[in-house]
Amino acid sequence: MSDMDSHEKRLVFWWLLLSVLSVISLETAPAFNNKAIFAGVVMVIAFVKVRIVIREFMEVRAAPIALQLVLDVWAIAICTALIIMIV
Amino acid sequence: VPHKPVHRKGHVPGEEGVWVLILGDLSVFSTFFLMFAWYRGNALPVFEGGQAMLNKGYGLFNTLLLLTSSLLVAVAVHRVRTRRAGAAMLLNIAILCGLGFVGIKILEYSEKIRAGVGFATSDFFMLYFAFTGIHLIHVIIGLGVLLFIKNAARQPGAADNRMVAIESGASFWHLIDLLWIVLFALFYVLR
Repeated sequence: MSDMDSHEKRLVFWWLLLSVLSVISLETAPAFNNKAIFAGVVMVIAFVKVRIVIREFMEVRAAPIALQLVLDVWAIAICTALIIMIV
Repeated sequence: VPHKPVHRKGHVPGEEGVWVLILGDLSVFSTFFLMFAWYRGNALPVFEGGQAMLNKGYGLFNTLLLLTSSLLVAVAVHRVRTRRAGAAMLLNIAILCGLGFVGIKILEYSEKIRAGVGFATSDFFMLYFAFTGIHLIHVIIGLGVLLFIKNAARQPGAADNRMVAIESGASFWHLIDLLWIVLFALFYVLR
C-alpha cells in the first residue's frame, strides 16, 4: 500500500521477519545432524517470534515496564524450561 | 486534525481486564507446552512418529495466515488511532485469514480422522487434538472479536470513543497468534 506511514512500514518489516523465521525453522531441519541442537534452535526461534509479536503487534514495547518485565520473564522461563525438557 | 501519539509511554493497550485474561491464558497454555515436553521426553519414538505423520505444509500455511492477520489487525488499530481510512477493510482481510486457518484445520483433522487417527491413537495425538482443538476454539472466539472491533472501528469518532475496545480485541487476537507460534514449533517443527 502506497499510503503506509513509517509505523506501518515498521510493522510490515516485523511481519516479514516473522514469516522468514517460520519458513527457516521448518526448512533447515535437514541441515542439522544433531537433533538436540536443532530442538534448541527451534525453541529459541519460536520465543524470539513470540517476543516480536508481544512487543511490536501487541504494542507492549510502549506499555508500563512492569508488564514488559512480566512477559519477558514468562518467555525466558518457559523457553528455558522447554529447552531443558526437550533437548 | 492533530494525531494522537502512536505510542504513549506507559500505555497498556486495551482494558486492563483483558490483560488479566491474556496472562491467564498464557499460564494455561504454558502448562500445555510443558505437558507436551514432559510426555515427549517419556515417549520420544511415539512423538517422533506422530510428528512425522503431520502435514508440515498445513502447519506452515496456518502460521503464515495468523501472522498476516496479526499484521493487518495491528495496522488497522494504527489506522483508527491516526484517523485514517482502511481499518475496516484490513480487518475484513484479517477475518478471511482467520477463516482460512479454521478451514485448513478442519481439512487437517478430517484427513487424520479418515486415516483412522484419533485421540486414542497415541499420547502424541491425544495432545495434538486437545491442544490444537482448544486453540481452534480461541480462533473461533477471536473471529467474533474481530467482527466486533471492525464494527467499532467503523463508527464515527472511533479514535476518541472506541479505542480501548479496539485495542483489547486486537490484543486478544495477537495472543492467539503467539500461542500458535509455540504450538507450531512443538507439534510441526521439532523432529
